[in-house]
Amino acid sequence: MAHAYRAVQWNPQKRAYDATLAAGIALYLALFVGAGFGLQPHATLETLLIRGFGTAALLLLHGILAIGPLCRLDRRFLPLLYNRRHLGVAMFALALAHAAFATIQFHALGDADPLASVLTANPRLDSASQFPFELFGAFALAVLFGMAATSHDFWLANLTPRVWKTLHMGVYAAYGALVLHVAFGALQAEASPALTGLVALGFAGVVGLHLAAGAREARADRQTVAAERDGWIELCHAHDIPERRARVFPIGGERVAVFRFDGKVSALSNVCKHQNGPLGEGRIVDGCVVCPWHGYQYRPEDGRSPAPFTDRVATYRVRVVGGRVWLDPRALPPGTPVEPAKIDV
Amino acid sequence: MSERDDFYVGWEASMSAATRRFVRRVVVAAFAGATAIAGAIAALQAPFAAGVFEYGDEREFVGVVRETPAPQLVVSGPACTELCSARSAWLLARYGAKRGAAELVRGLDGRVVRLRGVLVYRGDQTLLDVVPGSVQAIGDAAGAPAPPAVAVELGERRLRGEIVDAKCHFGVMRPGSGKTHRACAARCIASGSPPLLWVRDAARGRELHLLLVGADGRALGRELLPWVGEAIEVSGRVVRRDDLLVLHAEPAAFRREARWAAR
Ligand code: HEM
Ligand code: FES
Repeated sequence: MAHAYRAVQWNPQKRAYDATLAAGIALYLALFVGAGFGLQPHATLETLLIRGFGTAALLLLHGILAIGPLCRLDRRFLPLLYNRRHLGVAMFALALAHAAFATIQFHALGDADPLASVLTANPRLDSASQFPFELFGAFALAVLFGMAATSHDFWLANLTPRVWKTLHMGVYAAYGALVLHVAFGALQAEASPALTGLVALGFAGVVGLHLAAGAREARADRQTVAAERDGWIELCHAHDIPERRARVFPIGGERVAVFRFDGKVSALSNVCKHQNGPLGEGRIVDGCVVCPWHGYQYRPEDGRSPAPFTDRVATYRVRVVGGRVWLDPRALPPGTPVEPAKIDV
Repeated sequence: MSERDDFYVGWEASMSAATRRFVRRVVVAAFAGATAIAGAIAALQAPFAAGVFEYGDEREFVGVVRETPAPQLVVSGPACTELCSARSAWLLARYGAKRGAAELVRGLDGRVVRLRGVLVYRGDQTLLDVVPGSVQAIGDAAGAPAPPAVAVELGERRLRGEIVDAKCHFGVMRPGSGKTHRACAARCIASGSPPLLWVRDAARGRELHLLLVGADGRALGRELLPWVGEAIEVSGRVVRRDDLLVLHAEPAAFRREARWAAR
């Protein structure tokens, strides 16, 4: 039996990533609590911890949501994406600490079950200003839990990438719910409009980056093909493709990545089997296309991962005529061998 | 590496020097941003009220129990001059839980007791958090039972304020009021912590706390939950019993203030 998923491998980069993340979180919490006591002598540690964990989690979530579009806009951000799962799990841990502390502080040791109390203590579902903001927080926590619990590639393989991806798009629902959690909660109790400004700025930043990245992709998808003959379409000159890199062409609703390497051209589906990463933004290293997101590898000749891995992407027939690259837009079944086309001039 | 330019592969042991420089810059920027945001949020929080909870500091007290309309311990006014009441009626709650003290003093109305407790106070308002199991009736041993409360009728009043629970608001929770504390106040009141109407005169920097009871003087609890933690208007009869202000009013006659004014 082949590997069902790729085992987590520890390497110095991953360790440095986690150490940096842990240091950042510790720095934030220490500063928040330190500044809180420094500026507010009557503050209590419980309140500062609840607020510190909650704001740290929300801040980290902004970073997590920003990394995707940042990488589409500038590939130099890719090293941050590789271990983004770790950011997600750390964010969930902070959110859980916040929610657990808040539940204990505000709901425990009374006449009711604390978890039931979170959902029922404020009955003002009929009011906007008094709406029980805890419900938004509980919803977000449940979604984040589902994601953190299934974040490992083991679950990606077992739930199927489509189900997994859908589940993990839930991060946007969680983010939306958290904006409401804060807007109907802390921002109702706090007096400073600057806090509302901070939340609005974060929201605008997340939305703005996604729009910018989306606009760039939409522009790329609007490229038109040069010519069409006998069902084949002419794409570009072979030398318009950088060596060991690809150009991506939108073909009938799919994106096709056309690679040039060692005087040859091959075409694969642009969509990585792991998490739909853009293979056309990857690179050929040691004879394999390497996905820019997490480094899955595929052979350009047949779209298959080298043994022991078993992932396959669709391949396409290509020809080079007079230096121009032509493509048969009908995708072949994933893993179908296709002889790379030699560049003739 | 020559065929590689700066392409990053996460499962390799290292990254190119240029990538490393860029990542360093991003990390430094992220740390600076997180520092600024931590400081900004810490500074922008609304000021915390100056309540005190002497957590862990159990002391012994002697006084007379009053069970209604909420459990109280009547003690001689500390360092009192003729300007203030000679006696203080401290509200009671149960130490170590969101609970009232009704069970701890049941059947002891009018009796002198010795008990252990932890003080919670805000301005001139005091609540005693009673250590369970520490209450001992000592009868007349420490002097004659206190005479009945001195009750002064202050008439019908219309007051604007927020329902809070005495224990949190006097200092156990800071903040112990407002939207984010609402659920906690509800839990505490449902569990027997005395419900108060907190009335502020911001212009003069003064505040009052009035124990909320029914028009007939019965204790109120769960029926207050829809009203806790938001700005309301209450009409009722105000009575001062020793130094405790008591507001007799029916929840059916409470009114909400304008929606977004509930700060
Ligand atoms: C069952 C789930 C949750 C409960 C019961 C809950 C409860 C609370 C409470 C009571 C506050 C107000 C605290 C105060 O101002 O003193 C608050 C604020 C906040 N919560 Fe939550 N929360 C939950 C989930 C979450 C999650 C999942 C996040 C994730 C990021 C989050 C982020 C925040 C933030 C950023 C604030 C504003 C800062 C603050 O006042 O603490 N909460 N939450
Ligand atoms: S998306 Fe993860 S390796 Fe391609």
